[in-house]
Amino acid sequence: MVHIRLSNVNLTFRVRKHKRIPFKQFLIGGFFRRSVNPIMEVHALKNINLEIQEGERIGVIGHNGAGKTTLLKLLAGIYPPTSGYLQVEGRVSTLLDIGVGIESDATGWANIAYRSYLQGLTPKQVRERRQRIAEFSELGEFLNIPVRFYSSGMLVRLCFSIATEIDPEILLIDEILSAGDLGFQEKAHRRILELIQQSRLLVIATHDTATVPKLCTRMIWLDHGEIVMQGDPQTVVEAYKEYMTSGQRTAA
Amino acid sequence: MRPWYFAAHYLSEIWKRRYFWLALVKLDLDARYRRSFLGIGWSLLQPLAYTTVMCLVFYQIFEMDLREYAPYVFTGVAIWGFIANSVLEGCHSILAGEKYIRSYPAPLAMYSLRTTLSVALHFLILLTFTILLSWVVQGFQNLPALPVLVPILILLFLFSWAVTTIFGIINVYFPDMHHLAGILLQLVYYLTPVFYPKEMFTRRGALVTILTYNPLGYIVELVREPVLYGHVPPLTDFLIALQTIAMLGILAIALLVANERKIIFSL
Repeated sequence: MVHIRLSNVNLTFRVRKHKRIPFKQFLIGGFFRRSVNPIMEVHALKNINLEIQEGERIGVIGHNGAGKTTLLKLLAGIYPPTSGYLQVEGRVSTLLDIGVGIESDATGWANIAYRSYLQGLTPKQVRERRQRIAEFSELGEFLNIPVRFYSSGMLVRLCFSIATEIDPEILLIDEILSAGDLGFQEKAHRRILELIQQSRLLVIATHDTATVPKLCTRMIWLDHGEIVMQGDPQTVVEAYKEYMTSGQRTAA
Repeated sequence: MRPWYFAAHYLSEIWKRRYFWLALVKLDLDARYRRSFLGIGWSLLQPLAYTTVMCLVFYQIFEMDLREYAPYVFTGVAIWGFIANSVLEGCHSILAGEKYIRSYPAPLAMYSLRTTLSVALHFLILLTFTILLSWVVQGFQNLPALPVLVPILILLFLFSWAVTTIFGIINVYFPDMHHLAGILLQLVYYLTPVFYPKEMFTRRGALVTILTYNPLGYIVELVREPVLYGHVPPLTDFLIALQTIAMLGILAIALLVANERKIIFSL
């Protein structure tokens, strides 16, 4: 049974002014004044209550910094909730930041294997997968050289092919990714649509108010970490658009 | 019951991803040995050069018997290298896994295990060389004692895993831990019988006391006893090593429990 439930979930980032402070500064600062590296709290998700059933396709809209990506990372198990209850049942596949997790000193082939191994696959399973990924990426001979020597377009092809070779139950997508040159972009787009069809539960964060809502069964509008509105995609998108274009938006 | 269940589950999650960390260990080794036999030669060169210098010095000043002293120093350098690398490379162990931690939830100790394994494999190469050296110099007299190395190596592995985990996590919060650890290691180095024979200090008060209480000395001795002298190390050495490892292990587990999920916010 594929299912997601969040009740009263909060997520607070404790951001420091300086990313990290050296130990010696901590010693000196810790003894003499506490304010060397003040902690600022960012309340990224506030009191989220959400219930998603199998078969639903959820679109998440909201302006930058509204908490869309944070919500996806929370569902993916990368961020733990600060408080509240989170339950995710089903195998989660993510298309968040596809570029992370690439070892630049290793070859394309090796990188394909790492990602699969990290997800707990065995070499036997990887062997079949690897061929499909290689084919989709169209990188051919280039897979034998270290990723360090790839052009950015080639890197995108590799990352995208690795990231999308999945059999999703729960699929989490951050934006529709535009990948590589024109030909590949089209192919990539098709691949994502296929994955969406395959998945049994989808959560997709987007800025696109035209095509994505058509794919969704429900839309969630996030603002400052709170759910402002949810329900029928068309209604929510209209309300969101109106809010964004009207002067209501405060500079907060 | 619950903590044991949790620990077993944690370890099984690490085991499930064994191909992942093994692949990364292989990548580390490829980088270190540059895919060539000479690579391994290079890594032997440094301890060999050190041993040669020490032999020259100690032969000139103390007229040591080099047949005994040379393998003594070489084992010392090999084990010390293992300890020091566990600390220094351990400092980077968690940060090296940052990109994976950011993209996929997986047990944190998996990343320090990767560092431990590459440090341990390097040590195994040196240890093999040491044993060969001892056979050349002293004959096969140590052969009957060598099986005891199996439990000793397991202890060393646990020691290193705890150390890489501890320093890996601390280094995420304090990026200068690497330098600080380097200085500390330098100090402890002189308080550990790496290059000087322990017997040299039998009658000098303060240093003997420190030597007796330095747990690293016992860890060094655990390897030396069977390899150099063909003895099974005394039970007390085992117990002291075990105690040290247990304390480090508890600290490592405590740090893991506190940081397992939370560390992502500090990366």
